[in-house]
Amino acid sequence: MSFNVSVVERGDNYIKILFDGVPLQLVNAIRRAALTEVPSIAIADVLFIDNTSALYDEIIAHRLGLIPLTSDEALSKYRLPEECVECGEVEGCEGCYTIITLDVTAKEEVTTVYSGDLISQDPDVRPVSPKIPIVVLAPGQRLAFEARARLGRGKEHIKWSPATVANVTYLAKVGVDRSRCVLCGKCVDVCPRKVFSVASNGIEVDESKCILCKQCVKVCDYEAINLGWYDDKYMLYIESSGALAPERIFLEALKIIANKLRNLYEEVSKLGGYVGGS
Amino acid sequence: MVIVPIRCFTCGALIADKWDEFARRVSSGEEPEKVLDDLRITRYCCRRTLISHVDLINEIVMYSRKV
Repeated sequence: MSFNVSVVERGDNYIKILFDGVPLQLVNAIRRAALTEVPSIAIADVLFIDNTSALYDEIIAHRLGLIPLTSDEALSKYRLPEECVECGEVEGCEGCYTIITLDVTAKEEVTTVYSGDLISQDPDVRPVSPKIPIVVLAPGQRLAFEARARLGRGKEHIKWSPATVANVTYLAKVGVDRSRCVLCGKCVDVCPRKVFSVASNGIEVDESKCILCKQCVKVCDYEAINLGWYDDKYMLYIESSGALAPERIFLEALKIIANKLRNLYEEVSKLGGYVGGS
Repeated sequence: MVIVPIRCFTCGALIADKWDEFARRVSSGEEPEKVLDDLRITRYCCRRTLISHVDLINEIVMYSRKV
C-alpha cells in the first residue's frame, strides 16, 4: 500500500492533514480517538471551603471543569484514569491528582475572579488562558475552594477531550464540460465560495475552495458541471482546546489505535491453532 | 446567561477568555463582526454564543445573599 500524508496547514490551535491513499475508516478512527480517547487533564472534584457568591457551588464546579489545563507534561507525569479508579476516596493516591486552590475575597468593589487566580500545586498544570472569568463577587463575598485535577478521556466527559473540533472531509472534484458550457456565468454568481471564475479559455475552477453545496449543479441549465469527490483523499482537521498541541493530539490518537490493535492481536493469538501467521 | 459560558455550546471551543475584550470593544462602538474576526472566532456557533450573550451577573451580583 502506498500512501502519502502531509500537513497542509498549521495554525496556532489547529492542524489540517491531507491523507492520500489511506482508507477512510482509518482516518475516521484517528478522528474519533482524538475526540474521545486521547487523555488530558481537567478539574474533576471541587471541595468548597466558602462560597458566598451569586452562583451555586455546582455551577462554579462545572465552570472549573470546563477550563482547559495544559496537559503536555501531565500526560507522562500522572497516571491514566483506568489506573486511578480506586483513588476517588483515597487520600494521598500518588500520581493521580494534582491540587488547584483559590481563595479570593472581594474588598470594596465588585471583583471578577479569573482563571489566572487559580493556584496550581504543579506548575506544569495551569489554565491555558489566565483571562477566563469564573465568577463575579460583590464587596464582602468570598470564594475559596480546593479542587483536584486528574487525567481523563473525552468519552467520560467532554471536558477531558483535548480536541474541540475534529472532522474528516472529502476533497471536491469539480469538472466543467467545455462542450456543454456556454459561459453564461451563472455558476460564478451562485457559488458561495467563489470556486469559479471566467477566463479567456473557459470557466476556471479552484477545487480546494469547494464545499460540495451543489448550488452550481442546480443553477446550470446545460448540465455542464460534474461534482464529485476524490476516492482515497481525505482532509483531517483537528482543533485543540489548548490542552495539547494539535499535532500531539494526532500522534497520541495514532498511538492509542496502535495499542488497541496490538491488544486485540494478542488476545486473538491466544486462540492458538485457529489463527495462523506471525 | 448569567455569566459568559466558558466554552461554545456547540463546538466546545474556549471563548470565555475573549469575552472581556469583546464586550469592551463592542461597547466602545466597534462593529461586533470586526471584533470577532480580530479575535479569530471564525465559526458561527462560537460567534452567536458571544454575540447573543447578556452578562446578567453584574446586574444581580449586588442583590445576592447577605454575607
